[in-house]
Amino acid sequence: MDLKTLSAVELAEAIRTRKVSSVEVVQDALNRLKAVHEKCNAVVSTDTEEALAAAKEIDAAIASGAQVGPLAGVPLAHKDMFDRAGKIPSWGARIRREKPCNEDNPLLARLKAAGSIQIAALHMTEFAFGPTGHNYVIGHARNPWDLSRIPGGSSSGSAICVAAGVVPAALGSDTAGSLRLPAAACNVTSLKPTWSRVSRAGAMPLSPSLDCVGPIARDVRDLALIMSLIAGHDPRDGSSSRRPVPDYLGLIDQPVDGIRIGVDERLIGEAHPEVQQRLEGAMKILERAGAKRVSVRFQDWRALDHMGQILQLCEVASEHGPYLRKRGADYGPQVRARMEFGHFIPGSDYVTALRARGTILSRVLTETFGNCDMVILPTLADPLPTIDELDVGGGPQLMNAIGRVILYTRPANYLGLPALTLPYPRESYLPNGFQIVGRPFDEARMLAVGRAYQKEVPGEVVHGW
Amino acid sequence: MAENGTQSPTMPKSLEGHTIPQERLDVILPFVTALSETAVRIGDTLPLEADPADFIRVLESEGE
Repeated sequence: MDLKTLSAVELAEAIRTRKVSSVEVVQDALNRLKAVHEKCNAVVSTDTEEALAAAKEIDAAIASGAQVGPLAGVPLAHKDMFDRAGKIPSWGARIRREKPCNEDNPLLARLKAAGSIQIAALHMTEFAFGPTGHNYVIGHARNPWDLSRIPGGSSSGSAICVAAGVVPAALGSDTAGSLRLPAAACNVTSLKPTWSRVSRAGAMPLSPSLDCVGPIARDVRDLALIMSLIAGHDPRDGSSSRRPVPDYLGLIDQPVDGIRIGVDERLIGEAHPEVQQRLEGAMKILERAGAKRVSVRFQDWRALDHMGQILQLCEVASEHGPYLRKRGADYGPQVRARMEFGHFIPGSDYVTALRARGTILSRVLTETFGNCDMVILPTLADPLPTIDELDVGGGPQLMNAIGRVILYTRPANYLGLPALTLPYPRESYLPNGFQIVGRPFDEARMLAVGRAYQKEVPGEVVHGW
Repeated sequence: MAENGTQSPTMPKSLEGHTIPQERLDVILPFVTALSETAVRIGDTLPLEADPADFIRVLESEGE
């Protein structure tokens, strides 16, 4: 049994039926974690002893015939931005909370209650404020498919460890593309949920108006299982939605025949020709699965991006202003430079971006989504860049370089819309991916589309680790 | 006023004690001006009663 290729659903089944023990699975994951970290700088800290002890407990429970959760004995690892009782998350930064957390992040608690075992806290861009995987404080992360390339960010370690088969799934966050970009760069899948669908309590805030927490996995079924566990209202996050949570995994094989997927050719035309060609190939696969292509148009994509930037830059400036003034030298050059922008944006512009959000979302749902169910877009605009090409630090090219990387991702955060990233067929290319952007709370149908796509293009693991 | 007639940038109070080199200010100011132009253009189209809470209302009304 090649453990690194199994999904979380498959691993849980193998452990539950005692084809393999949780201790064996966790030990195998820890061994691979070490190898991957040495090459990719994917890990901040490991939980070796706690993880193996938890695995023994799960094995004993299964042996005794006890009921166990749907992720019993499955190793997971998450972006190092979530509270864990007794620990101080690094946030990928030098500036951290002063005292250990009193309790676990509620999402980690739910995953733990489902039987999963956290084996590590993973690399992230400093304060989750960067889309490439560059981190000038804890070191740049590297792509497991090609060590000279960016792994994407800010949930870099999560995507790396899923791609390399260390764990089948991991949590990350997405303020402007931070789940989708690393997933695309590392050839795996991710789901940025509708804003408010998943609690952000106990997670490091970057820009609360935009922040979303979500899963990265190789198999869309694992995204569905994890979404079923983490979605839903949380009293610790007053903004979290009270809508009932669908059985995402139970709905994943629902028919996708006739689902209308919108194609905005003008917007897609801003991508590199190779990306346009690969996107067209992905669209043909979706059509073979039963989806119907329709033409759509986003009226003013650039304005959506600008409004998202205003919210993000102002909220970051407010949160980090006191630290920037007192401990500026503790920030890496890129994050420090980006944090300065928000201090120069008028407060009236920030309020306009907030006031306009409902009007603009309503218009997009009526005009762009008026005759389609979801929209297909590139995730990355260009073929996967090298780490050196985007090593711009805090220099004058910073905003243009980053703006190009997140050209297709930030507007979904401003609109609060869910977005599923899927990898293109890899063929002879470097990894890359596209996104399906959906209507609010339509994650179940989007995951079904992803499942239909993966029947032709199944998830892959990087071999050789 | 600066020699070219544009107003000299004033460091905001929220950055007091933090130094931004001139070459970075030369990047920041046109960048935020472009964002501001978009905000003003969008703001001009909004009704007076547009409210930040509209966003949650539209989001949550989906499918109802």
